[in-house]
This record gives sequence, C-alpha cells and structure tokens, in this order.
Amino acid sequence: MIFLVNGSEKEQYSYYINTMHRIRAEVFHERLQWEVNVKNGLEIDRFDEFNPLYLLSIDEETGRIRGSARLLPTTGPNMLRDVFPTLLPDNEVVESALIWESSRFSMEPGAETPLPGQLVSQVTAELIAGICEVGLIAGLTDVVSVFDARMVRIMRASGSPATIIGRPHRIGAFMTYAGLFEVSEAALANIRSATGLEGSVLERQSVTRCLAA
Amino acid sequence: MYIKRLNTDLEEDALLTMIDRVDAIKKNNEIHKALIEMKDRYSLRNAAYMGYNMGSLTQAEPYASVTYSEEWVNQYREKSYLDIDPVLRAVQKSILPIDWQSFDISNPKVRRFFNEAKDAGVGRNGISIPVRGRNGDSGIFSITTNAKDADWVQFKRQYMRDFQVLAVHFHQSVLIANNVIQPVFKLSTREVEVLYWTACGKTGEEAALILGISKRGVRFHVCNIMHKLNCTNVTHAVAKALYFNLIKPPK
Repeated sequence: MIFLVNGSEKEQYSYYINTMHRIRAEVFHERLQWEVNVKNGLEIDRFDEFNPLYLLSIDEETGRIRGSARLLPTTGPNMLRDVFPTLLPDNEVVESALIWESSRFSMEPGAETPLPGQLVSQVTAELIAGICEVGLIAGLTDVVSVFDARMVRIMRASGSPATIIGRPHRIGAFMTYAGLFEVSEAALANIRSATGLEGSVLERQSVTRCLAA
Repeated sequence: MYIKRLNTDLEEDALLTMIDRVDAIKKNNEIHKALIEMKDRYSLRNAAYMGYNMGSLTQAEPYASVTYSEEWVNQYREKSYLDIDPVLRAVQKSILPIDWQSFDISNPKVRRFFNEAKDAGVGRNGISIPVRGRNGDSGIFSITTNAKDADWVQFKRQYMRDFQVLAVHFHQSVLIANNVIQPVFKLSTREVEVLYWTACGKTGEEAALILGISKRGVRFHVCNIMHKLNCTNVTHAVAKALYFNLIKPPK
C-alpha cells in the first residue's frame, strides 16, 4: 500500500519520514556507496526542502515503511537540472508542467526480493504503480528519473520500460542514465499485468488528505 | 455549452492558441485579458492566477489576477479571506492539483466559505493547480465551471493537462511582464549552428550543405528557432539571438 505524504507535513508524520530517511541512508550510502550526506543515520538532501511529494510503501500487516520514492515538478528545483545536467545534450532541459521527476527510489534490504513466480517485489511494484497513479491524478504525460543499470532492469520487469534520453554517463562507479516513463491508463495497465497488482495501490485517506491538505 | 466541445479535436487548438497568447504577454494588464480569453475558449465560469515569492512584486500581498465578480473580490478583501481560504492553504502544501470537491465541508467555516463563493458566482466546481518556479517562486492557478458532477469528471479528465500547461505559462508571463525575470531563450546546439550560418549570410541550402543536413531539416530548425524566440521572421531571430548572445557574431 502506498501512503502519500507532502514534504510540508514532515512534522506531522515524522516517524514515517525519519524511517524513510534511514532506509535511504542504508541504500544510497551503505549499499550503493553514493556520495550522499548522512547525518545521525538519516540521508537528507536539499531537494527534501522543496516540499516534494513522498510515496511511502507500507507493509499492510506490520504497518512498517519498507520503501519510498520522491516526486518533484521539473518546473522547480530538481536533480536532473541541478545535479545531473551532463546527462542531457547541450542546452537541453526537461522542464515541463507535464513531467515530474522521481528520485531516491529505495527500499529496505530484502524488500527488493521478488516472491517466487514474480519478476519484481511487492514494494517495487507498489512504488512504480503508485508513481504512475499519482501522475494520472496530476495529468502528467511522463515521469523523468536519473538511475543506474539496476533500475533499468527493474523498470523493464515492472512493465514500465524507460525511454533513455540524452547520453549515459559514468558517475562514480556507476553508469547513470536519464529516462522517461510514460504516464497513461495504458501504462498503468501494463504495470499491473506485469506485476500482478489489482486495483489502486494508493491508500485512499492519504490521497484525500494530500488533495485537500 | 462546454459539453458540445467534448470528444471533438478542437481542444488542441484552444491549448495551442492560448499558449501563444500567454507567451506573447509583455505587459501586466494583458494577463487579465488572457485569463478572460481562456475562460471563453474553454467555456469556463472563472479563472484565477495568484503568485507568491516573486520578490518585491509580492512583498505586501500575493500577485493576483482573477475573472471573479467584483462582488466576490470585495467580499474576499473585506472578510480577509486570504487568511482562511482553504484552497490557498492546501495548494501551498502540496504539488498535486486540488479539486475543490475534496475539501471537507463538515467544517462549518469551510462550508460557509464555499457557499458564499457559489452565491457570488465563482462556479459550481473548481480545480486549483500549484506551480513551482525555478527560484522559489510559486503560483496557484484555478479554473471553475458550472458543470454538473458527472460532466465535471469528464471535463477534468479531458483538460487537466491543458490547465497544468497553461498554469506554468501564466506563471512565467506574470514574472516576465512584471520584470521579475528576464525572458530566457535556450537554443539547441543544432539550432545555434543553423542560426549562425544564417547570420553569416548563407542561404538555407548553403547552411544545409555546411551542416550536412537536408534543406527540410534547416527549415525545421528555423521554424523552431522563431517559435522559441517569439520572432516573426529570420532577420528578427538573428537580431534577437545576437542581442542575447545566443550565437557568436558572424565573421
């Protein structure tokens, strides 16, 4: 289940938000060894200050946060423009009312392992379907993201293949890509049939709350 | 009236026409005119734009341009609704567009606000779209209709993207018309090359030969350049590109 939280609500949902930052530290700092800032075991960057929309994957049985993704409009500050402009050819920018950026896609250790017979894990499937569903609510055409080869495979297995834009770049130890994911009813149907999800993954009350905070 | 237009392909024209109108805005009083034109083209009841964090322009109060009745604007001012308007509060908290129907009207204050708005002819239903700008500036773009609920759902599905796009264009034009930012022109590498050789006096055919692309390709780039720079002909585009340092001066 995907629980939506606005960045502006981080005090209200501090337990959830802190868990998310802790998982992000484990994934990006410890496991992937990206150059990210970790303080007190929490990975927080400057884009968290720009009131993003967080998608939190919650285990329905335990109520625990297992993974998250972050959405930011490309008309405002975002990672592709402000951190990774080298991924796009000269003077090309992704700046559109109909494209949001997804970043910090991550989940706790073990949550990325698919159940037998599945191509991707429940948490992965929920986050990807959740991003597409939120995009439909907002009227988006695409979601753009900066990611590595591992994510390319995950996205493909989730029925949501990326269109690589610009040129791949080696950043640190990783080949890094900028990719576009389609947002449409058809794209959502593809994700659902590839992952076995049925119906909306969004937690109703959190959607209502975010739509009328 | 708007019903007639559903399931036709007129809407694309409305969007493209409106984008051109909004992008051509140079003076502040043209913002209001463009809102009215959009209202008519989409058969809306009302349209409104509010801007925040735009430096000195919004120091005292947010920038506002609305098509609402004078009655509602006065009432809104007199009762200081700027402080309690649930739409403004919600939109500043989130990046998601907000349908006014999702507000909890069990709260008597909220209910009274929306009833008064309805009585003042604001519209039967509405949606507000948050805009995020490059420099911490933000905006709220709202449209309303008098559509019945079922038609409203359909209307939203059909036009949400149009209004998301127009919201950003209005925001940008408010910034430019009030000199908060200078217009930014960005040309691709190929466009710069095409325009440079044009500035050097080469014909389209010669530029195509030099760059190893087709004549059609050159024409395509020139069209894009004129659109990006908001120019009416190539001479105009060359002059503007030189002025803004987009191309180096010809040898």
